[in-house]
Amino acid sequence: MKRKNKKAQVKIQEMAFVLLAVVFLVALLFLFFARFQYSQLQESVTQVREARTITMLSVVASLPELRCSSSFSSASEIACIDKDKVDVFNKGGNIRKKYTKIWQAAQISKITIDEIYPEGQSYLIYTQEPGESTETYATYIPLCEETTGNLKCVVAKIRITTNMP
Amino acid sequence: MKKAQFQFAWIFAVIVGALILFLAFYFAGTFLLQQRHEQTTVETQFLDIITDPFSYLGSMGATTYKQLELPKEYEIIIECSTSTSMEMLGKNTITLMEKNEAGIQRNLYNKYLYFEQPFKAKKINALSKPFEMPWRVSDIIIFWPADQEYCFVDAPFKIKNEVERLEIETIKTETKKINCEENAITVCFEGGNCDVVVYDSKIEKDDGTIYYTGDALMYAGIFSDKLIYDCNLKRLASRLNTQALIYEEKSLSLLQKGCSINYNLQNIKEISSQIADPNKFISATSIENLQKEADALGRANSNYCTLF
Repeated sequence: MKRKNKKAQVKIQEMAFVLLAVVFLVALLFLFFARFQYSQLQESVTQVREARTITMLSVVASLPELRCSSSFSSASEIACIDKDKVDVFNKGGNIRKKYTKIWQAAQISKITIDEIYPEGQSYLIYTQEPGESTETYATYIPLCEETTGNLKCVVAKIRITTNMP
Repeated sequence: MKKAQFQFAWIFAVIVGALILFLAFYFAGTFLLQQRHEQTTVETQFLDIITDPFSYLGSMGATTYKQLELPKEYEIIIECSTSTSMEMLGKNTITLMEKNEAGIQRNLYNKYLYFEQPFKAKKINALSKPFEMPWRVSDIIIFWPADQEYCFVDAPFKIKNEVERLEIETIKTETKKINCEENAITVCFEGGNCDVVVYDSKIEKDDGTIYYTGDALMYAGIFSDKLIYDCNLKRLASRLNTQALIYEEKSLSLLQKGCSINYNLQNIKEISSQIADPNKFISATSIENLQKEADALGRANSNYCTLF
């Protein structure tokens, strides 16, 4: 009688261990799957953020606050940046502060415009503390200045640094 | 004894089995909800990116029309808030909802979205127009569901021509209201018994009177709720005010370069500041004054020393 009782207890223990193993296996599979999903999600976030940043390059270049005046004789159809407007942002202060949210929403941590041909001044449009991982995208654009009756342009490079997930 | 052991084994198996089943259903449910949440969030981002008039809809500052298509039907919730000390240019927030499940809200600080609530659609018509006062302040984007037809009755030649040029299928132009489709929203120009009546500087709708100036705001007024319209107009005025500060600095720089024209931006700054004030109603006079001031600046803008 006692032997039979012990045998039943062993069987229950066996069953409990099997069930525990099943639960453990399911949990392991779930963890693996969650990890896979997370990496997929991270990848799609990176892709969206990259697309957003590349879009932001053209947004920055065509922002009315930076773009050349539409009535500049040779600049009405081409994208170019107005040096006088860039100067206002470069000074910082309240103007730069007003546009902070636009850049923050796009996870941008820094925007600079550098005169590269001929090499000249660098202008800071926006900056904040960068995240742990950042990526910088750049494009070339004419940087033009209105003088009395003339338009003087140099080649510039816009650099946008974005925080990556 | 044997019977009791047998029962215990069954009870144990049922409890653990139920636990496993519960966990399986719980995680599967959570996963599906998360998938839907993720989907709506990604679609919101997608909508944000493709509504950049520069990146997708067309060239800078030009009037463009495009039909956007989401992967499935969503309820699109767009809210507007005017400028605050933290968010100086105000914002639009966009959320996509599917079966009462909302994605992550997205804040849009440089976009001005006009639409009429409730807004549930898979295909969306998007019209982008530059708002100029007198320089290009920003592009405004007007949304309406692709299955909602509008009928413009006796529209001015310029409007009729533009609608035809842009090939907007859901805007029909008719000379008489009787020719409009039964379910179409009718828009009369210069009086009449229509859902929307457009006058020279105001638009009469069910939810009130909208004051406008220029084509961009006229379209915005036709296709938008008064609440959204007024809020976004205040945001635009706030942006115009900031831009006036930039142009003021530029005019000083032009003076230093030898330009003899002294541009006066004080008036446009004051009027735009009044319109942008969240505690004040937008009046017909303020809109009229803003247009007058913009026209005066437009005339003063010289080819010799171009300000804008």
